[in-house]
Amino acid sequence: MTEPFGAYVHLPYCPYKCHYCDFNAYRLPRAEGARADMAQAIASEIAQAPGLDASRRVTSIFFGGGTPSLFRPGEIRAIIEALRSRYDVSSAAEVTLECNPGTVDLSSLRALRRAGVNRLSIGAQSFSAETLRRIGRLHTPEETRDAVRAARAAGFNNISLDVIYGLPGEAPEDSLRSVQEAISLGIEHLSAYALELESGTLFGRLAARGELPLPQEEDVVRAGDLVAQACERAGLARYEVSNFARSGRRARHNMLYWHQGSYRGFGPGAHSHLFGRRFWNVSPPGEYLRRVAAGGEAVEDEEVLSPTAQMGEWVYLRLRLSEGFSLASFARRFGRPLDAAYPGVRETLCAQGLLEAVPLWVRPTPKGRWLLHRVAEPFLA
Amino acid sequence: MKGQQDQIRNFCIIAHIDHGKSTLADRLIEATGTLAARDMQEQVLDSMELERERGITIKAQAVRLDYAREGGERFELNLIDTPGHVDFSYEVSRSLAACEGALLVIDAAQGVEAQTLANLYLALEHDLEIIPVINKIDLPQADPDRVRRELQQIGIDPATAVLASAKEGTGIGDILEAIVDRVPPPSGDEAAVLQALVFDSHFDPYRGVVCHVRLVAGSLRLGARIRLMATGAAYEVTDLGTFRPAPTAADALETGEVGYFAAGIKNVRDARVGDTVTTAERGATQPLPGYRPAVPMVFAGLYPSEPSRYDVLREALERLQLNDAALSFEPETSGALGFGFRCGFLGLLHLEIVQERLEREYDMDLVVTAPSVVYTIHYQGGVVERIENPAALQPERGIEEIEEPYVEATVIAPTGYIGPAMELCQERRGQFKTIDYPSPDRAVLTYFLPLGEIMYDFFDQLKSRTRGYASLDYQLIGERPGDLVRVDVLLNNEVVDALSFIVHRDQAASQGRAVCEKLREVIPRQLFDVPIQAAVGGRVLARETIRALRKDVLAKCYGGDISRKRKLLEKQKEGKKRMRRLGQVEVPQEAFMAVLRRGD
Repeated sequence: MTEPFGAYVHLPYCPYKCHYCDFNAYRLPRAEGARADMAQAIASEIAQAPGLDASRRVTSIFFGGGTPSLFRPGEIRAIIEALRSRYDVSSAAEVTLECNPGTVDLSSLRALRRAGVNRLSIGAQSFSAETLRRIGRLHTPEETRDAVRAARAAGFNNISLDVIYGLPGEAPEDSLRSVQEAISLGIEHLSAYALELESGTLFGRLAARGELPLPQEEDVVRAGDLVAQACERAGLARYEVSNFARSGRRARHNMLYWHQGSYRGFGPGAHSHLFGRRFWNVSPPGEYLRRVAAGGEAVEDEEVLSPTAQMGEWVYLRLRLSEGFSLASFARRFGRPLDAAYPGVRETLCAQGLLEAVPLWVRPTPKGRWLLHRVAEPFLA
Repeated sequence: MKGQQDQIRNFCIIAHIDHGKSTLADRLIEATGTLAARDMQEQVLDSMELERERGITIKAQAVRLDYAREGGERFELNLIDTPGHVDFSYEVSRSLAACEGALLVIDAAQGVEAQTLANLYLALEHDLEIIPVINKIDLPQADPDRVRRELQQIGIDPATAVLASAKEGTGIGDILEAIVDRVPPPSGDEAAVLQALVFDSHFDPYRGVVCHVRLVAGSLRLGARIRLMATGAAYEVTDLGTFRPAPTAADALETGEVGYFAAGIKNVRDARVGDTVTTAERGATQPLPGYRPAVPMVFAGLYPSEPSRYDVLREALERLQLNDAALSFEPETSGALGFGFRCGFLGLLHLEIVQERLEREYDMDLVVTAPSVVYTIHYQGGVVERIENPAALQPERGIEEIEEPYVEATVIAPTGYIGPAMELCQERRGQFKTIDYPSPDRAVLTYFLPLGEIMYDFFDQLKSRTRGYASLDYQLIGERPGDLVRVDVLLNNEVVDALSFIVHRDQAASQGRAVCEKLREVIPRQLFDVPIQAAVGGRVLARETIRALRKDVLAKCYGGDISRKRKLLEKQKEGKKRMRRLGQVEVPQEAFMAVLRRGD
């Protein structure tokens, strides 16, 4: 079996920016050809990308953003075609596209399906109309339900919804209701994120001034636990801190990240990881377009991880997974036992109730999952 | 040029902070051609980097000005600079003792302030001729007439005042003439045995200690065998000269002159400010009056953040001490902080300066415990002990009485702010002594106050309650008994010795509460609830709880997040390395200053 390899495509435009979002996303320029230009530049970056990865078999493609569903299906198809000419794309590859309710309909979804997209990740965020307004989303809960129904009609059998809990003014029960609505749509996958405040966002600024009615930490934890229980009851098993899936429906592309796997990113600000080297493109779309036009690549900077940093990162990423990792897999990957690389650490964390005290295996306890950074800290460089 | 005593004038400049002392000194140096304008570093006299930054004079300096008056008569004017902060009042008094006259600089807009008065009284005690200089007359708010009235009220003839603007260079000639005309020349016995007053000293890595001296009687020659009377140690003079302002070598210093000498002295403690230099053989029988050993008033524990840097800290303190006779230190062990030093300082400013120098010049990362004054403890059975560290108090031995140091504080404020100023003194256990009105709109308050009460934030409080108008000066007057108790702080049910502090019994509960609240703010949450308690003799007065951390995980970690988030976590981990582990609790360095900041 070949080692999995992913392609990430970043489509940086949105109709508007949400109050909590600090992604590399920009308002769609008014100029008519903006989307076509971007899609073309990405295709061109793919075609000209240097590197030793051309022969690798691509097992997953992920269109993230921004709002990729703002792009025309033809533009998405062109990018997939570019990937197919540059790489050996597996016929079984998972091809995900992020979309927002209100930006898709049955015909566009059919076209996307025909273009090769076989998985949708829909940004529901909440099923309360009032909450959606408060966090700066322009769609309604009904539009989310419509989008899921249309996707089914278009032939998608692998649908994920994103929801956020711990939103301003929300009690744990409100978060639970949103998630129950999402589950009732019969989806295969759910990502439930605790709200994070980023300094560059409207919410970040309001919170810094104490003007955001944020729930208490205990309530966020309780909301998260209620959400997880509801998912488990509905057959969506937690496999990562914020991710739940039916059997066989884990996000293959995202698993690559948590397995410290290899992937190549295209588009503004996209990150890549190849052979222990992490590098990323310039973020502003304008600069990206200029760089690609001039030379075919747009790398801004890179980071080559030291063996110790790589080891710490590997442990941190694996600990995000519910299954954790086996002591054998660590020893295989780094050539020595975990307890030799980090003497006494596992013991202490078990004693603190942060790691499960199970033989041969390392995985966080429920308490440890909420305090994952404390768990991971001793492993970091 | 040989200094006939008649041609010598020794003077200093005294002023309240920011009234323009340093700028005036610069202009005098420039006007006498001692240094060409282009060579002037702003404010040459404040040569230490720290002094420049803080705009204050820490170490006294001297400079010789050669002044030719119209008609060609030449004079040797020795300007002796004085430290400008109450922490250094003994040093000020020695500088004044080396002079016959003083320029009393008063800001034309601000008028007479607390330090103006304190310095004036000190100068009068030393029988100096006072030349009032009303400075900054260029300011739009300048009101020289008001300042003249204030001068009258403090007993100075306003007609003797010289108007000047050091900034613009006006009045400088008048000041030089006034110095020559009105400051009496020295009148020492040229034939007598050598008596020289050390008014400052500094350590030079090549020459050893360089003493700044005023010759009171006799003369000092290169190669002479001399003795420092306080220590009795004898040396041979290897180098001497005058400051112009750079050290300029000479063969001899004569009676009445001011200059420097080096004699292979290893440590500034052996040539302490105020000491008398005489000849090694058949020297003077009596030292010059006024010598006082350095008495640190404020003590704090200094600990290296990393225990392995203990020896580096000791060496750094030893080296600082070469140049700072007032700094004392002794090894000390704290249950909470490990091995460090209990250091003595003249005051809080002195502490801050030493801390900054250690951090800047020696790259030390320090944990500084809250400063404490010295208490005298009378235990049962007649045993008396002085403690510099609250943790050293042993209540179990039975305490009969605790004495604490007191100061006499002078507060000058506009009459409208006298209420708030008195209120503050009252809150700090002050005993009212007098109130005077040198002018209708100004009052001078004197209070007896415990030093421990004014050490921290008293001046800041005074400033804020009087909108910055009040000024403060104080002098130590001795010890008095007080109803004092030690407040212990317990973290996770264990006493942290480095956090103990001594207060008046009536304030123990409120101060204990304030410290607990402060600690709850600065100590990060742990994986479990951490109780913080303040207790006197086992009786808990205040309690706070740092709630356990429930959530510390980023919701998202995808391709683009990995590098950024790993770095974030690595940085957090780095920050934790700077924390102290007390039992199971990680405590940041600023927690140890919580006792100090309890009033914030």
